Amino acid sequence: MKNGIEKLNSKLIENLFLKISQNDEEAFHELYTLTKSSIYGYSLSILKNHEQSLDNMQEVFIKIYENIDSYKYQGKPMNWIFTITKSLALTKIRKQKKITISEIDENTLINPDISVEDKATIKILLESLSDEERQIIIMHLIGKLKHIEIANILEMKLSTVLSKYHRAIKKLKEEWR
Amino acid sequence: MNTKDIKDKINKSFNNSIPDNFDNILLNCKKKEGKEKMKKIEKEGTIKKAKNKFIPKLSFALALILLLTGVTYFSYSKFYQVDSIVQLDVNPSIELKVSKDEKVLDAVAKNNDAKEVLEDMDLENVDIDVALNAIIGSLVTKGYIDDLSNSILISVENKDHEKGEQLRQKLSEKISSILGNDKINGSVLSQTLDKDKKAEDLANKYGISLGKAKLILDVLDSNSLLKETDLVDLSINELNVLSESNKTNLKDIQKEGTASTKSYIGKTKAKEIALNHAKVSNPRNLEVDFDADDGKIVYEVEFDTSKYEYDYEINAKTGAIIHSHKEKSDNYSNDIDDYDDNDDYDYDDDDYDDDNYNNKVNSNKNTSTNSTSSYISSSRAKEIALSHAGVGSPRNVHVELDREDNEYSVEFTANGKEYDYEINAKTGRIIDYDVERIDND
Repeated sequence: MKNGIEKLNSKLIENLFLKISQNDEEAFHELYTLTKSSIYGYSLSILKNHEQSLDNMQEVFIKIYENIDSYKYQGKPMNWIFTITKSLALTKIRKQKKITISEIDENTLINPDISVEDKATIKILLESLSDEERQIIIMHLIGKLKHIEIANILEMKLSTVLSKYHRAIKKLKEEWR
Repeated sequence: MNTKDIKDKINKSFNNSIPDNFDNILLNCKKKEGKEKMKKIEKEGTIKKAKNKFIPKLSFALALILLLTGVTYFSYSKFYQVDSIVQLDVNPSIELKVSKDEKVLDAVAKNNDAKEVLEDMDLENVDIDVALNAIIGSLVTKGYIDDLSNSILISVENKDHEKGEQLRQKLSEKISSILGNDKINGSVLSQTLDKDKKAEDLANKYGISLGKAKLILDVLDSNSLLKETDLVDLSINELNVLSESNKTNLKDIQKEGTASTKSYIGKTKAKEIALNHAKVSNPRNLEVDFDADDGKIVYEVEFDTSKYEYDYEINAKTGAIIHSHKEKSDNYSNDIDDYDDNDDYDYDDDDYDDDNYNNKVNSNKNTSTNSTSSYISSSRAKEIALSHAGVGSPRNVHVELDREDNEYSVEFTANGKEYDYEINAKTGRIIDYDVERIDND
């Protein structure tokens, strides 16, 4: 493998899980490096708030650490991670709705400290794609999930996931020609 | 901008959005872990003395973690020697060397199937429980254990028989529970191994595990017509099926559950095939039983009529007639052994050799440079996958080229199943594939 960050290899991640279950902190750090952008990105897709997405990402890692012994080694670690991410994010949304229904605010949407270019990238991702398209793009491109696995997580038909994915890729290609 | 550029662009922006908060995450994990540990210990009431109100709970928990880590480190060196050997047999055969504190020191693949199961799993210094979980998971994922073949043999060797027995019991329970979680109704055979010259000789002769050799010896004892060579290539489930059919007395082996026979055609069907072939409608003394012949499970079907005695061997999976024999019942020696050499007749569909594709594809191209021109086309990749799957009219086809890995990913659905192929984009070789039944619609 030329670049570990580029490729989310299921076997590699499962090996990290094994090590994490033996309290190997380095392995946990490697998992963090490999998966943080998928988890953050997917959280942001749902929560549309930078700070909350960071919180959610942190909670996901804690949950992974706590529940590592209950993971079933069947070659689908990212599936498990995204399922946790989704469930924690939805819990956040439910709690939030009870307090106040705040409008989406651009200032809280994106990390204010990143470059103009990065801001523009995330803004396009959030504005030009539908929620579902965005989640599919992130899970497939960044999280390296198969379309069928995404279909299971999002409870959609495979054909729907595929057509949304193609539409989304087309839109992004047009935006970033 | 291609798909990879899009991916890189998004990935970069996300990564830049995340401040490095790993240390904070780790601290929170440890805090939580410490609290859990303390709760547990308090519950057990073993640290009543230590409940000093002047010590804040959190720092106590952290001190506890440090202490535990220290103890672990100390015991690590003390226990770094093989105490037990644990053999797992399904068809893959795996040997685990285990230390006194039940950590895996080494995991060895004893046959090729086992290599596939272990792949690049790194089990060293992992708790035996966790290692078992990982190995069984891989056995299930790779299709070695399922409803069609549900048996697993675990054999424990320890100088101290009593200790070996304790570990055997613990591990066989653990395996049953892991299989139960996967909704597999498994059959777990387990034994504690003692010195056994006969079994050791058999194991060495055929390169099988000592545990499997012991099981084979038991099965041989129960049926004098069987030969070693009939049995050594059988999987544990197949041996389990035979031992049940022969009512084998399993001497040192404990057993839970029953062997699955779901991958076989069934006695009724086997009987029907034999009778049709013999053109006999009113057989007498009909008997159908499982038997083994040269590493295959067969149905042995025997019957007679007023004139002849019949004897059939039928491949239990495919229904192919391997052997048929007919002779006059009144010693009128007129053997008809016309089907005797039919061993080659075999419907097994896993004879497929994907190297064929290599040859075809390679002959179509002449360069091996890194440029796109050396890739096979996406339609060719699709064709390879469809042909391998035996699917003519797929739906939801998605073909994608991953230039980093030089792989095509081909996904499609057909006949209520989802197919997922990874194909080497240069050679056309199938790297991996996966078929799953579609649950809904």
